Amino acid sequence: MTYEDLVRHLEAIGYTVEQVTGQDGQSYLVIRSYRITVGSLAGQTCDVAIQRMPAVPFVLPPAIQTRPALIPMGSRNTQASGVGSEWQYWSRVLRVPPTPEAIVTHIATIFGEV
Amino acid sequence: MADLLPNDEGPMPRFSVAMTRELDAALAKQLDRGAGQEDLAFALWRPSRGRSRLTAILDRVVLPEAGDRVWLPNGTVAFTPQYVVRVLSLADREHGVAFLHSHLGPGWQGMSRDDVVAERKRMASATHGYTRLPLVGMTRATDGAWSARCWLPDQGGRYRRQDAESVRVVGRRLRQTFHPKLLPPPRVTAAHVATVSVWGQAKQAELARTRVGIVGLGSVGSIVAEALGRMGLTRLAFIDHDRIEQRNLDRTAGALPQDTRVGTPKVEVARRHVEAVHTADRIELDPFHGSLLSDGGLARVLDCDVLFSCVDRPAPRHVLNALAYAHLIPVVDGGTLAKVDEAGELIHADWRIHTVGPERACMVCLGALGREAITLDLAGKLDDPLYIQGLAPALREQLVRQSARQNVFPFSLSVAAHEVLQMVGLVTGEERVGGIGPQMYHCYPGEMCVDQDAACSDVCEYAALMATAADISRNFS
Repeated sequence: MTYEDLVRHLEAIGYTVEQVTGQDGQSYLVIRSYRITVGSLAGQTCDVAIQRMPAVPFVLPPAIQTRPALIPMGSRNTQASGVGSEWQYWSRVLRVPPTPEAIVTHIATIFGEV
Repeated sequence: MADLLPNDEGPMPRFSVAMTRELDAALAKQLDRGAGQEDLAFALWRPSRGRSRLTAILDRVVLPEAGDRVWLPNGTVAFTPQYVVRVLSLADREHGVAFLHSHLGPGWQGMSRDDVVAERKRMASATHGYTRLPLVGMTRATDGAWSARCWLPDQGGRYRRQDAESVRVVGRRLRQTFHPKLLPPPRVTAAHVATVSVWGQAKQAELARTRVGIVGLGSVGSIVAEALGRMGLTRLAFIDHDRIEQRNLDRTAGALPQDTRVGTPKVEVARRHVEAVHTADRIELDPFHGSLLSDGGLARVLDCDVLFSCVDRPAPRHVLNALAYAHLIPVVDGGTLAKVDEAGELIHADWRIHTVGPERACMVCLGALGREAITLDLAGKLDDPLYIQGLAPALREQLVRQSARQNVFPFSLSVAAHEVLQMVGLVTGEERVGGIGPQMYHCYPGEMCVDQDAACSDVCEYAALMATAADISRNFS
């Protein structure tokens, strides 16, 4: 899988995605208006950012970031994000092969566990 | 060939061809006609650029269709212009074109006048002009041996031939055909009597000419280096960024107390030691004092036929795991795990040894390398104690254990010995030496377990890189 495959998959299942450069100078893929469907945050909408890592083969970075911050900063392995001051860094590592489907499930699982 | 290589600082460029055993089998089906009949086919290849070697990695066979060939007297055959046009239409800026045909004799094959005309005059200019990569010509012999050359642009619009030094078919076994003049079999000397008595001169000749890279010249890597030098191997590359410290003296072959005072690079210790103990008439050593995760380090491993992964960090092992598939360079890997309780008592010690690459499970699918650790190392988090402290306890314990220095010399001796045995099995096909799969040794009760069914998962991201010659430098650039 490549970064482009992930973008294509997200767009194919209906998400609007765009590339942004964070305040830290890193490149991020941002999923706009992601609607959380499970867990205590269900019903909320946020932007989800995934840092673009240039690894070969594709490696999902060890975190996603949300805007706005959804839970108190510092709780549940979250912290301030390099994307920008409105963003929250969620430290979560994907442990299975990084297919587009697995990444979508990973994001849903992160919110589902809150 | 200068424009095909990343830099010109090294020796004269060498040329090689590699393909998977699966692709070799498809070509054999097409080309091995028997009964005095030659045949031909085309393939597409991708460039794998090392420091001193360009490897053409065959990627895809383009088999002939109706009207693509003309059968000639005396069992020979020619291609038609429509076949060449079709092949070029399938090539792109990432692929070169390879023309393959069969001969009716065994071993490395020379070229007939007709062969030269077909490749140099009929195709070299057209394929180079379209793909900007040289035409690769290959000949398959009746015993399955391959010979190869590429056609490089020369002055006056002419093309000159550069013979390959070897052709590598990579599957569970690494089957190599060597150019008899560029890489003749090294002389077997009285120093090799015991070695040759076990696997014979022919297999020794294959081993001795195999270019082997050792990444990490610490406890395991330094012993592997000594073993290969003593066994008569003639072409070794060493890659390590580290220098000898006092704590290395109890486990590094060739290291001396004075090395700790001047901080001798580990690759220099290995070079000095192997120079002193090697048994070949002549040995070519290429030490690189720097990281694998650099252009210089990566270029050196891409020059090799087989690699030893003797590093602990996840990021370099991820890189080696990737290039084993993408660049068809098998990697022999291993590691130890000793668990000690809070009182300092040993609970258990285990070590594992495996070879990764085509037709074998990768380090991640074997469970020898974790995606979590790779991700954290590539993201620069593995050296951040605050970050590690915030991880889930199970993952934190796993990462801490992985970073512990457990390379006690006898453990390293055993790992190095089995890694060398696996390499011998890989190169010679001698399973009675190398075993039949990944090995896990348990010190207690003293048992070696073999997982002969190990394979990559259907969605393995490393196996998906097979023969793509993917740009691995993106992991550190």
